[in-house]
Amino acid sequence: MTTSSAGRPTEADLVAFLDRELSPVQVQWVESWLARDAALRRRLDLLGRVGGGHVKEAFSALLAAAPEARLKAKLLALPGYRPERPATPWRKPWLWARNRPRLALLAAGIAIFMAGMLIDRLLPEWREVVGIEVASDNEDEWRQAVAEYMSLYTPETLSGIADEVPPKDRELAAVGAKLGIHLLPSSVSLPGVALKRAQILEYDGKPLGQIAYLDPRDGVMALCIYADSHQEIAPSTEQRAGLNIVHWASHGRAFMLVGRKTMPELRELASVLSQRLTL
Amino acid sequence: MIETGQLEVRAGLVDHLARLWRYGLVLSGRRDIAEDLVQATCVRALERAPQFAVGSRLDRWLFSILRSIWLNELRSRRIRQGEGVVEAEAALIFEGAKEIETNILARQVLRHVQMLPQAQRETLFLTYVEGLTYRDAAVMLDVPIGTVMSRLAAARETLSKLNSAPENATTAESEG
Repeated sequence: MTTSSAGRPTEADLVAFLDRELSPVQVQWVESWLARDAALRRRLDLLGRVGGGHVKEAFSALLAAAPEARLKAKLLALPGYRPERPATPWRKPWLWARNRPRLALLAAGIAIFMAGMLIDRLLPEWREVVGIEVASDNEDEWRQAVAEYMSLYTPETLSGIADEVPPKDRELAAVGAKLGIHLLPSSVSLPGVALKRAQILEYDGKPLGQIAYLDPRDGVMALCIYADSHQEIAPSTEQRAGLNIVHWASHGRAFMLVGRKTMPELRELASVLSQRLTL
Repeated sequence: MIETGQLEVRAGLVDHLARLWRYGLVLSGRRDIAEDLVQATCVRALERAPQFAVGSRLDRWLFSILRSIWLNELRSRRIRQGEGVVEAEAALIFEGAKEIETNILARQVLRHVQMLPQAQRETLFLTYVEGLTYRDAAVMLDVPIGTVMSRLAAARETLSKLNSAPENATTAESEG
């Protein structure tokens, strides 16, 4: 530690004190200063307002956002990754597993993964039968991200936001400006659902607008607009993250209406929105 | 016959993917690059598995590999392509974080952490999120321990301001 234990403690000393990184002698030194220096106590109080615990907590949510399944799949596909068997004879396979429980678990994981791949391979036909679009190309990754994100919403997420028009007006204008599209409350309002919030997010370096609604019966619904589309797509339906989605793309922008409403209801609302927004 | 170190790397890699991705996101600010970084780290770790010291911390070893790949390969390539590294003000929060709806302070913290200079952000992350001691962080970052302290102090100073008027900030968040 480079702390000198002499003179008035610096900001760095105070932070190290808060982080319990000081030696007992240094702790005594800081405490003796704190006992007689009110300004220093105020500094300590200020620096301690957002502590390491807050930072850790804030970042814990990022773990949930990791595309873990895809990362695992990529790892398992690496040529050098295949867990090799020990050079012991195959007569005692369970002894091997017993001695290396983690490897045995890994092997089980791979088996499950292979089964998953098989299911994935079979799934498209099944999806076609029931009329759900198979989602696989890169252009649709943003919808997966949005769907996973929206699946975290509960009605309480939005219920605290007032329904007054003026702030929505400004929010919509700001979001519209980012997306290069004219957004007015009248163009995005929908019958029977409250327009709650418009905000700008980002996906893969491109602006992503989110207009959130609250439906008294079906909860949260959102219209998301992504300013990066290279295709013209007619309104289509799909399911992701347990949510129903109607999506379409026009003039370089991709749209999706996502929520827990039934597909026919969602399709009807999407048709209203697509007419207003893609003219 | 496989060395024990190799076995440990192969068996342990899968447990650290999400944390590696998060570190990649802190460094690059982009989820696609974070994913590439994890992939490259896995490849490199498997290649170097015989060098892994059995009984040492696999997560720290993997973090060092990821960091080195970022500094030496991906970052420079992106800069050459003129794509820049991180646009602090661009994303509401880290791209991968989307939004943390349940905790307003967490959202504020992430947003402000993202706006910190890269060196401060990384030091803050390694120390407070990944739990490295100052000394371990200094080794990982290859800087003197005093630099770790001053980066943390500067970062904490910035973060302390975000919460100096919590009522106002909270109102703005819930409206926004």
